[in-house]
Amino acid sequence: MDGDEARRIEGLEREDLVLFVNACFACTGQREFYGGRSGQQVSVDFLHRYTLGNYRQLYARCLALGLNHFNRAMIVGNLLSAGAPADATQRAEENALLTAALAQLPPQRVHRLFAALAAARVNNRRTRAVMGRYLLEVRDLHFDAVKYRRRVRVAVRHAHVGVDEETGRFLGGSVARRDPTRFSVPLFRTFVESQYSTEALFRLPFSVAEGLAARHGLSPEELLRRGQKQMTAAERLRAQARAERAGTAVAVDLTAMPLGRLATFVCSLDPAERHRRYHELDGALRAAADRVLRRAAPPAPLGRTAVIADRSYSSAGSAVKRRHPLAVALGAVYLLRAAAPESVVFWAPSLSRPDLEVTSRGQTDLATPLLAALRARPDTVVVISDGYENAPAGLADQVASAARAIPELAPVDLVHLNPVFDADNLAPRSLGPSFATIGIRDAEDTLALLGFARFARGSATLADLEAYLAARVADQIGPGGAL
Amino acid sequence: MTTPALDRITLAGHEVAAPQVFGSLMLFPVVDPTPRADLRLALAGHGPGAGAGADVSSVRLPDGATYTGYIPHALVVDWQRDGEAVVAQQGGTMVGSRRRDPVTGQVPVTDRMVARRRTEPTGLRLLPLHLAFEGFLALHFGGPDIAWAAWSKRTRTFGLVERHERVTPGRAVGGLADALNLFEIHQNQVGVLLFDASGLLSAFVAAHPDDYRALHRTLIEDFYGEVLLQSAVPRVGGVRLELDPSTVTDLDSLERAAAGVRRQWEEQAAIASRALIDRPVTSEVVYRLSPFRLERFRTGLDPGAEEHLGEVIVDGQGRVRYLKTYRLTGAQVRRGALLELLARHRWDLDAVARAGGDSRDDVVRRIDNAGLGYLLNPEVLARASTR
Repeated sequence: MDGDEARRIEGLEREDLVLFVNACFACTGQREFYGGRSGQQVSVDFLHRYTLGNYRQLYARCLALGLNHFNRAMIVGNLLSAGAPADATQRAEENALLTAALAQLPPQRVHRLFAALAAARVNNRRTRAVMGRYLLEVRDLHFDAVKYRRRVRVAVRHAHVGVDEETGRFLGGSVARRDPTRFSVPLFRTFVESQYSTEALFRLPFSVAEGLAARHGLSPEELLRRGQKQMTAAERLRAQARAERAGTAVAVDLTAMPLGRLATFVCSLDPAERHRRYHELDGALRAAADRVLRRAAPPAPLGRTAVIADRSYSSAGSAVKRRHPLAVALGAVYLLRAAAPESVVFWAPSLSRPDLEVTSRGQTDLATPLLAALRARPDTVVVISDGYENAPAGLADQVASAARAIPELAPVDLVHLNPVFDADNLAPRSLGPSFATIGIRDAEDTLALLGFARFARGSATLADLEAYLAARVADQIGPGGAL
Repeated sequence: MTTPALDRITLAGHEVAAPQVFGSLMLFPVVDPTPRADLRLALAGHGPGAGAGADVSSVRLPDGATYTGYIPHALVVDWQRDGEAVVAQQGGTMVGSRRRDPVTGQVPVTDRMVARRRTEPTGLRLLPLHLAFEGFLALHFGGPDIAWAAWSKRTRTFGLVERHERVTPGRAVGGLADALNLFEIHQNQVGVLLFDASGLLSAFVAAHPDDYRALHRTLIEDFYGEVLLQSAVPRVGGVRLELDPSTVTDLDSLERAAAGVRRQWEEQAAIASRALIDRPVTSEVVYRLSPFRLERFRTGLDPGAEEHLGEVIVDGQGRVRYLKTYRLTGAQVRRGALLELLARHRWDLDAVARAGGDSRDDVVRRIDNAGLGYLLNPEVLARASTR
């Protein structure tokens, strides 16, 4: 039957897209607790190629969905490698999405992407234009030439970017750089001076100063003490432990930190220190959650929400994603508490201390907290877990499906947010069919992802998904695809 | 007062939780809901600076002979008579290098390893499994008590001096290192039952959750039967127990149904570990650490069955406080059974042949096939194999 066939294809397409988007929320191509790095990369790379090959327009539109940076950069790279589409409207929309995505990505990621494109010898006209426009118009070229010197040099050469004479000279030779009088751009001059002047060194971006510190024989303590006024907020946060080891202090304004980063920072601290600084950290987390809410309030009120947060041993993540799943859980707990003040939180295994003193210990038993959560009669249950339930396996799903048959319980929305991509299944590991499983990278996205849950559950049609995508695209680049 | 040795191993007082599955391995956590601290285990240091030298320890015996032992890692048992808590010992360093067979990677177990030695008045040093294995190796160690000509001169004079068995270190077991790394230790977990497709491989129970947490990683240092190497089949144990939705009418009944599934998992563990738990064992008390007893045991020597040996510390109430078992390989069981058979017939090959309805040559060949041919007179062996 034609109708059946069409429905089947439609269902397949929807599943493909949901699978891809879901993977792109969580996966970063890094090692996870239960999976190695190469497996993650092969798996996510396959998904990208598959989606690009079959659904190019939707693939490009995914850039507007708030996927994580790793995957957005990968989409941009793949689109540029594939060349521009022939259809003029599609091309215009794609170009606008590309430009918008590049402007949102952190510059170091964009420069790494450009270097990868150069290494892969992707040199079509659109790629050259995109690279040139980014370097000359989106970013401060002189600043990037100093901070990302090597990568900018590669990109400028590769894309024949028409930089000014002085920048060209700065990026090009090494001998010329020794004479500061030949440069009129203050930052270039400072950079050349910093080769012999320690004072000039501390007027450079911190990461550049750090690279030159050894040449000046600076101790870690002195580098941090004098260099901290040039640090970015993220660098300050990262330098905390190092500063403590070096016996100095790096001032950091926790109240201005984004929620995800702050939660990761909190989880990196020793529980004793978290206990000592409880009020400071708690206040900062609450403030960060409030900021997220003000920026992106949920479209509809959440209602009664129960949160089940997995703090089992596997939430410790891997060496490259230390305590990432735990930090996502902590951030989401704070955000959901702020969004739905009457929400109840259950840690698994249960936690007798305040939320922010959470550690990763013990087995993954999600059935017990789920039963407790159901007793609170919630409208929505949000589970944040890596999906490796083992005490015992699969019981949470069985409890959830049995609970649906209980007449006295109102239907409950079960959403499972998973910070870990399971390479073997090409998707974040699911707790079972009763749960809508969605990948998550940053706790800040929690509320937005709850809106995506209906697609993960499979209750929405492909047309709904396409409409949702189109709406997000319109949000980002304006209706009609023009910037 | 002397209490009789155990006649069976039980895990009464412990709970077995749902398993965690890693490839071909399945690990059931053993949980002690009411842990007591009057018996503690700690790692004894054998690294440099620990006083005992490196991997190899030497003891000069009173008669001038030197006893040399290879010690992968040792435990120190500390206990209190009055049930008070023991002050936990500091864990020692783990031993890095080891002597191995360059071809198979296996560590030979030399017999007559000293298994216990008092370290200080209240402490006892224990080499995990060596006590149990020593019992197996020492099986009919004396050799024939009648000088049958069929046995080699050496056997007749010295007994089974060269008796040895090969074991496999945990590191050589595919997937075990990963499984131990990824395993999520339960709260109050004191032990683990390790299974693969063929059944129970090893059971380990420590006295206290903190001890288990510290000793979890030493499971890789222990030795296992070669059976582990043979059965590295990926993805088994996909047991899934279902909650019965027809019994669920409200939240209370749902909670009961969920508890029922948990109970089924415990039963599953009991079924899977039938070869060891609650099975009659031959046991002997090796050491009394009043009120505790250190015993070694084995289940039996039936070549067709899964056979285990191990060591156990039980308290005055007969409750297991320390347990460590080893699954004998088929060849090891056959060797043990053969030695028992020979001993039962006073090492008389003809009597053994008559009892089994075989020819004498068949018996000789069986002994040779079991890897015990070196005990026989070479001429007897040669004659049997040419005929």
